[in-house]
Amino acid sequence: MKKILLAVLVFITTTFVLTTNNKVYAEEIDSKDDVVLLYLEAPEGWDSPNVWSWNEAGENAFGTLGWPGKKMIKDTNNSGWFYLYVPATMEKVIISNGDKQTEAFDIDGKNVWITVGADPTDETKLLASLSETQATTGNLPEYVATIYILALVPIDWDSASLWAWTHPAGVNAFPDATWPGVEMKLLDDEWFILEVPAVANRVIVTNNAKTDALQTIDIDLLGGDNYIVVGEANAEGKFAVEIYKEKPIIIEDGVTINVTVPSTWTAPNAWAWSHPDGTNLYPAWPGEALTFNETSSTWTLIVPTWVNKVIINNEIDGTVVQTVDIDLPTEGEEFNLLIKEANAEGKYEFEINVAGNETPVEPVDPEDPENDLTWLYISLGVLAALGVAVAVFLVMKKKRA
Amino acid sequence: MKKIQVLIMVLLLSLFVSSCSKKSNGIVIWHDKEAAVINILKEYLNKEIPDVEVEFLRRESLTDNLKLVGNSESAAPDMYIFAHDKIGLFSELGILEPITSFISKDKLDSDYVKLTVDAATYKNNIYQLPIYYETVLFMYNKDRMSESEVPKTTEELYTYMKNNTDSRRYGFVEQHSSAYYSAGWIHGFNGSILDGSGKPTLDNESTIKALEYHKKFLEYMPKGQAEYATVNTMFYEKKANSIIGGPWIVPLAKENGIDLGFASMPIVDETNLPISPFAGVQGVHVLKIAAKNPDKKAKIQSIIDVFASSDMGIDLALETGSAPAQSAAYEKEEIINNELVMAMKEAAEKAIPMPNLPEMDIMWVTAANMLVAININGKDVKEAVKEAQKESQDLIDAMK
Repeated sequence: MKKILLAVLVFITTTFVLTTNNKVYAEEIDSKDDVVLLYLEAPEGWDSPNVWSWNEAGENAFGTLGWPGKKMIKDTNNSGWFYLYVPATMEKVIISNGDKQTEAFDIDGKNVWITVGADPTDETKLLASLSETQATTGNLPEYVATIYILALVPIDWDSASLWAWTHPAGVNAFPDATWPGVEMKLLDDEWFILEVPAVANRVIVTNNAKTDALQTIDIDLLGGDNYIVVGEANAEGKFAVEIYKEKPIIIEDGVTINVTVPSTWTAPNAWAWSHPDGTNLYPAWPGEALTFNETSSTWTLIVPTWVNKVIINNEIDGTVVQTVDIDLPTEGEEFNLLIKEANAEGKYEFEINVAGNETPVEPVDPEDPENDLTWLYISLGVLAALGVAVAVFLVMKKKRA
Repeated sequence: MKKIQVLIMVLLLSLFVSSCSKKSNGIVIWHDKEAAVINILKEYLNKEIPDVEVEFLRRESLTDNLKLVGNSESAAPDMYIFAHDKIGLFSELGILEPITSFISKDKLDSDYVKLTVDAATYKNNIYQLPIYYETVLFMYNKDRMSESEVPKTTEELYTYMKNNTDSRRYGFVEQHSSAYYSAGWIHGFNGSILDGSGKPTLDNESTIKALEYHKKFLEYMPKGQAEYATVNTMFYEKKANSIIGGPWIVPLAKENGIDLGFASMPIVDETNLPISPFAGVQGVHVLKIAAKNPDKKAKIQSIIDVFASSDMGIDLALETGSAPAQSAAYEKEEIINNELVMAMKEAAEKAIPMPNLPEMDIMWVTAANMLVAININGKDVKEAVKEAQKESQDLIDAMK
């Protein structure tokens, strides 16, 4: 199996559509001065409110988690109140609880106490009312800077947990935890996640078994959120890892396409799908940007093997130009694709080869039985050659006569 | 110069002769089987009739190609190995020789499991020498699904899927939008795809009920096309705990370290009938055009005699995990003690033999398109079956 990891920014899709993009807010927040406190007096029936927060710059405080964002903490000293710290640079907030949510409201870098009520002009909407006056009693809760550790673990592992500490001091980041650590939560995309105090700089991922837990090597964390892909066990039985600051896209059973584009194409995109069922690889046209390979001077596209058709396109002077539908060869793991000239319809023609093959590979329609009749064509060719041979023989005979 | 011309002619003639030689001197057998199966056949043929030249050619679109060249003396094979479901079609096209030209009906009736001979019979003629038969089974990974968790009913299966499906693993997967696999669910509701007279039955009430009931299971299966490679690979890679699959997935599952369990098909709660998949009888067929040639007929006779050897059927069954077609095989210890083969025998005997009517050739395609429309594109079941029923009937009418 060919497994390909591509480190790219994560774009978490949610059922909630924002007008801003969903860029992850990855800046480390170390100081209480960099955060503001959101305090919520929960409406009746709200027992698990979450905060989704972003700013006009496109940063999302909890983009790593996806919608509905981060769960608020119950304030045991103030009945009915929940709180959460968010980065002070955030400007917009939605608080939700299950299928109920407030309209988006503004915050401006100050602690706020929030109550929720129905919109008097539209009872189906919930509005947040904000006050900067402390409505709770006692001291404000302590702020602990945290990061998120995400792990992709072998399929044989039923679960995952994290053991985290400060190195070289050897202080456990979760003082109350016992080996094999704190259980991680499974997300909707096969990754496990855990929020960890930002003081931790070294972790071990385990399979969360209470006895003889399988574990990774010691992992030195990178700054901010970390994405850990657990690989194979080494000779000592500890699992090797790869670590990323950005979420890698993993394509199992992928094929690589090296694309040579016309000189006017400077930012090509690929649109890819499976024919005939029509499953698209990318969520929206014009698809995914290709990566330029300096060494080969070609653009690289990697797609899963279930993709059998692609279109390469490029915006030129405000107009998107594109190739015809390109059938990928059914055999091979790497292809060379040359985009040629535009046809009468203005769509660009192409030539595609399996890498290393000099002869262009004709796309194959598996539903066409004629594709399996090569032997018949060869036989016909031989028959034609035989005809020529007989003609030559007759001419020779005639000449001799 | 003259020498070169002669040399070219000799070369071309020899090329022509060599391309024909397989057809004129030897026997060509088309098939769609794995190399391991063909190696066993070759081994027996080489041992028993070493003087007969036999060439096995694997053809991916075997039946489509036969439709095009089945009557061509130069292009058609002499024999082919395939499931029984195309017998009616090829019989109507006039390209098949009854197998009783080579082996008596009495011998077939006495030596072979009844369902295999029934499946090979079309309009009172028997067209196939059965070799082995197979169906799909409920298989599970014992490391992931305990014996007590094996679902006895479809509702238990649904509950298991609900409780054991997350973003890393599926409780159960199947090729839900293939007519071959979907037929099991349809039969479980007493529905069908085609009736005995060759009339499409996609729009009958039982078939509609089955399709509507099955939709809720899709919620816990991979989204999109669930084709052969995807579904099987998920099981091999331990990303699916159970599967409805054929014996052909067993070798790779074992190679991937899966402790494989076999279970009876779950019973549909509403009808009290099990999911009842199609059974296929794999066997050898003779082309009429080859049987007309006395020299070839003699060679084909010797090949059929070897294929009728019960030991070969046993070896093939053990290799493929399918059930031998010859009754005598079930007296052999290696067969009786083989869990997979015996599970296959039991399951296949409860399964419904694929119809061998010519109309089925159309139904495979129209039913699959209908399933894609319902299961993948979310089309309303009643609307989809209505359209598919009409399309099927139109195509069948056009074929007559």
